Amino acid sequence: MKRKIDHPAPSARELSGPKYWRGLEELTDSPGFKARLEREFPDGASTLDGVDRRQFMKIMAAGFALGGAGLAGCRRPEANILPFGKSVEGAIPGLPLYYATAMPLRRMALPLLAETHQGRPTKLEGNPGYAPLGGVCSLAAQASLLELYDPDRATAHTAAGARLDDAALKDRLGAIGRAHAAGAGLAFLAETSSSPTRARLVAGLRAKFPKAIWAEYEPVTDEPPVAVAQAVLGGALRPLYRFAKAKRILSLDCDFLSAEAGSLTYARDYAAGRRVTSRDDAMNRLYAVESNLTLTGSMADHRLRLASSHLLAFAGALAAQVTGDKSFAALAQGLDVKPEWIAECANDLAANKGESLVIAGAHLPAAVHAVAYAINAALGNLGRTVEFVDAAPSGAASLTDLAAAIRAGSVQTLVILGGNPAYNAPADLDWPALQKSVGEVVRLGYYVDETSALAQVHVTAAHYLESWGDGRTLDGTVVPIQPMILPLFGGLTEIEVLARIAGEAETDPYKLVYETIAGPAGANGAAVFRRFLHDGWLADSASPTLPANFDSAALARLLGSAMAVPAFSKANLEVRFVADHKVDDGRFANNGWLQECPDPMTKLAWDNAILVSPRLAKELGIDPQASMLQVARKDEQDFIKGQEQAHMAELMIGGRKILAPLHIQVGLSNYTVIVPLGYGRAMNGRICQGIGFNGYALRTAGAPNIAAGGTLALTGERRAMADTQWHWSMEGREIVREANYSEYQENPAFVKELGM
Amino acid sequence: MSNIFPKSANRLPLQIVIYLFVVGGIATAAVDYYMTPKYTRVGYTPVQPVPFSHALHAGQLGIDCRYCHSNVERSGHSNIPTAQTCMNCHSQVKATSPLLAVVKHSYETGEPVPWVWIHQTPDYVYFNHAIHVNRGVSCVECHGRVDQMDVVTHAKPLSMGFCLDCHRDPQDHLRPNSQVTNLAWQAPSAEAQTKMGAQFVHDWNVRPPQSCSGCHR
Repeated sequence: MKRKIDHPAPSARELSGPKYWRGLEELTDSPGFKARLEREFPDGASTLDGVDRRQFMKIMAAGFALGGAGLAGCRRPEANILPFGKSVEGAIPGLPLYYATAMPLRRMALPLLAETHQGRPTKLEGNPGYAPLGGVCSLAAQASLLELYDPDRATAHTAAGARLDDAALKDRLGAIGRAHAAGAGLAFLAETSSSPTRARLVAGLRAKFPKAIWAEYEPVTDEPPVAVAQAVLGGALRPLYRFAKAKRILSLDCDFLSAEAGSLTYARDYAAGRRVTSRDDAMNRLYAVESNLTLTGSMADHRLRLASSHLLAFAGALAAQVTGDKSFAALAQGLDVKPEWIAECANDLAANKGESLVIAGAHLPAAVHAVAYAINAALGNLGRTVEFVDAAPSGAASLTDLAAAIRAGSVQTLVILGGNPAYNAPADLDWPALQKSVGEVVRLGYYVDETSALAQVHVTAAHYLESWGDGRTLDGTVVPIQPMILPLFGGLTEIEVLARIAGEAETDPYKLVYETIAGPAGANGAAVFRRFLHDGWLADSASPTLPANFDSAALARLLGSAMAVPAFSKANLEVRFVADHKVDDGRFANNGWLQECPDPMTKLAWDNAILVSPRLAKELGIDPQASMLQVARKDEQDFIKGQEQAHMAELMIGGRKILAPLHIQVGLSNYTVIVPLGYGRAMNGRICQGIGFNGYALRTAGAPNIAAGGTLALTGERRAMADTQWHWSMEGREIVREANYSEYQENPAFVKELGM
Repeated sequence: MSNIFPKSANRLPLQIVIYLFVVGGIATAAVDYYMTPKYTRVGYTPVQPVPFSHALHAGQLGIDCRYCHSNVERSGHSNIPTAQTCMNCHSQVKATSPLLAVVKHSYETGEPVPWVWIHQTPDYVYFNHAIHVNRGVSCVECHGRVDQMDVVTHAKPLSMGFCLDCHRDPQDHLRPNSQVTNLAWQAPSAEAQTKMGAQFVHDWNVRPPQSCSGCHR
């Protein structure tokens, strides 16, 4: 039972103002909610299931008997203090040491400051010296420390199941390069990376092996496509959004506060534009149009639910109003959105020319990005709130190209650097079979996972806290990856493997990175490199911003003829594949700290579920007689002992199907279902095994992010899921104290007068 | 019935009460003496792997404590010197002595010398050396006259009461910072100590915690 505190009765203003609630149960004041409110934790959370009192006493008695018989506690345990033989420079026993490093993730590295105790990293925080981020750190970076000490990580290099020692492995890697003259029959599959050293090595590799295939694959897209910028802006450019300068922001299905690359910078800048500390401060305004309920949507002043496939039509309708170019209106044929919403939004954006910002989600089709650029160009935002830097195309082949080459039989040796294609490749490629058809597969992996299980040679990868490396931040600043500890299991880094296969004279990762950073500085190189390691970033290495000229003729070519707006229904669902908040695309699945963090929107932990809207749930036959509110809320019969009793359903697209639990989520587009990826791993890990379902089984290369034509069917079964929605619920005290900007200007002290 | 219990049985209740008082008193006194650190820890003098004499090094030769325990002013943990510290002198002095074989081996191979831990606070107690020695608490307050010990022995109980005595009346135990490692130093008189100590308490803002979470954190 919780302690109860009596608060003064709410003022008239609070009663008449908008009401905030944690869930629909609270809104409707259902009996289940009342019961839960009385408890701090859900029913059954503090009891030990499976152990009864009698058995407990038995074990305790046996413990006392064994302990007492030997009287082990009566002897003084002799302990030793073990000092080093030779003093370690800089190390003071009992005090931590801090080093600058960085965590690489896809095409971005996050600068970090690692705390080490006696040579063991213990805590990661953002590097406070790196001004654009000011010491912030992401959830994944905080938790990545645990993976270093993960007992499930790969501990040995193996070839056909037999252990491979260090020297034999290095010979074997060197032999791969020598066996393929000019690289014929050789293929590489890597993750995307921002490392300048890797880029340098790959360039050398391609020069030496012109016939080899270099492919890159990421299952989740978090950056806008460079091809669009190339088409309509006339250059390989990457946008940098300046949220701090934007007074009006429109997000087109873009979760720039958590899912997009650079979201840490964007969230910081957005908050800077949002924060008011005095009467005179201006405040930005956020419009969000989205199919999923995201963190960005939850921050929006105006939010519109819309299927992701309808966003092109929405962008077209908005562009027609903002630019006055009626040809855009053709895109919006059949769009079912209140015209006033679009008109108000367009007027607001147009009233803030040069200080507004339109951003489209990375997962959206190229056409939406192109129209978003057109709107930004018409609003005069290019070069002001939307700046551009060189995107330096990697020239890598796609996974589909590589699959075609394997099918054609032109790949004899495949080197897979990181990634996990056997788990996350599009289902229609049938990657496991393809991989098995290649003669020799060498896999550099942190875990012996789905991909390594099908490879002849498994090379154990070093954790980034054991590696020398480098990377780039959002604005292109080069940051170092420094090892905090020697590789625990002799793991290799990606750049060392590449250097060995390419037969480089230098294969030591430290020297490779040194060459990249210190090389261009010439005689001053050693000092530059020391400074680089000390500060945690390379001074003046941010990419220069480049001018962008919007080409409307190119846009017209790109858009081509207008497509009809697809109509979605129960029989034709839109299916969106999104990275999970906890485990991303599955790469962090064996991290218990992350699994324990509930999803910020659904509050599910240790699991994933297909998210459906209340309307769809009702049409599927979940409580068909009830009102929408009743369907959406989770009452007693759906919530047993603190566990959500989710309905199981089969989701089918194009002949592929998965069985998964449904979580009814308000705020979704009516006929959009959200499939979080990253679960249902087949890997032998004690955390990730046997939890959740694998959404990749539905994904195809043609529609990796948004697919149409899905159908759902309930199976009638239920499954218990951990849902922390109602933990620590409270009553009689407003969760949010709110006033409008104009009210704040009248009375900046309004917060103090509310609810106290 | 009167012949079952003799007349002397009338005194039994009183005898039982007296007996319980005596036995209870002995038990309390015994627990208080034998089961507290005053008895269990004071006098603990394990045999060390190297017959290192503090009386010779710190006493006769006058080497400052901080030559070897070099980080005591910076870290919560007072470091035990590395073999390298010993070899600073012993690569020249008594370089061939068989007594130094363990230290030499450690210096050459990096294998640590397994010194036996004497002053061991329990894991549930937080103690920070640096904060104490920087505020004029001398080594001698907790470790005794190490400069007179051939083999280091556990001189003070280091019990909770021992800590609290000082935390309650710090002015009786503080000395000038320059005299912290001078174990022989004493204030000219008890009054002078209290007066000087009170000044230090004020000047250095010494507020030793007496709450549970000060040490049991």
